[in-house]
Amino acid sequence: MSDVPTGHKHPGDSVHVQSPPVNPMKDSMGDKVHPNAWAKRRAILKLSRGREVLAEVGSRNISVRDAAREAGLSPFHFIRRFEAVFGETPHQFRTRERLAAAQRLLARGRSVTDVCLDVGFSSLGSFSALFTRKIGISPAAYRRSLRCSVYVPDWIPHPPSCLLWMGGTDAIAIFKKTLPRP
Amino acid sequence: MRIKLVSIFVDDQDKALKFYTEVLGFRKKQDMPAGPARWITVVSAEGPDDLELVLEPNGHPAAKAYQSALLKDCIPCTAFESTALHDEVQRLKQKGVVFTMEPTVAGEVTIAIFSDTCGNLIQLYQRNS
Repeated sequence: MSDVPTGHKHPGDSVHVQSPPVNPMKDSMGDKVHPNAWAKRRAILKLSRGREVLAEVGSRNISVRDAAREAGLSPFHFIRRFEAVFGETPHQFRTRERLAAAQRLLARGRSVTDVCLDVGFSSLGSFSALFTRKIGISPAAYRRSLRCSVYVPDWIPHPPSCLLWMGGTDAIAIFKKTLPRP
Repeated sequence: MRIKLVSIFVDDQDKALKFYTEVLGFRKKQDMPAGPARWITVVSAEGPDDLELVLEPNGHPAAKAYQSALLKDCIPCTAFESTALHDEVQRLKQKGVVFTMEPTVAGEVTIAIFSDTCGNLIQLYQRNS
């Protein structure tokens, strides 16, 4: 197993050294030097920074332009690179994060109006419409459906893998019995 | 005992299933509802058919933090093996996959690293014969 390069997670690993490599890297043709290897790492770091800013769901309304500035990229390049690396636009990502946060807050029993403002929407109408379109039911219905049945801490629990594997779909019923009552 | 399931955190299960099947070319093995999320696994068409990769939602805050920290340091969270790395890289690039490391010889293997669009970097490697 020692020669299999899986799970490079150790700081001292030769592949992930912190200083620039001594030997120039070679590309798929085997002979072209890659001076941009470190530029690629910096690009990922910049995009990650912008993504973290967008994920800060709160009443502070972070614009895509703000996130691009945080990343040190022009809005045009930020949006283009973000989509290539993360498979969705910054705007789509932010919306998904907001709706996920809204689901957590609703499950804890906060009112729809409070949640709408908490996750950064200013219009209750557009929040409800968007939530309904993406999640499948209205925020109010979602709140009712979850609040009575399960206690939800910081995240919405789902049956652990082992249980699902052993029990198949029955696992969901078994799992629900293990949840603490509110 | 044997290894049967390996899981990887993803930021969006729909997006992940699309990427892992349509772009990487894995085959969907299981997809069933699991509370508010889904239980989704994929297998490689190149086998083995019963070693499944679980596309696990990153709903827990610690999962997000773990993904984010590895990504910032450009550390891949897992590795897939290929017998034709360069062809594979070209194929993926044509589908728009972003590589953070071009195929690079590293001792007994040649490695490349790409973004899986779900918040992870994945290492692709080939053994140098």
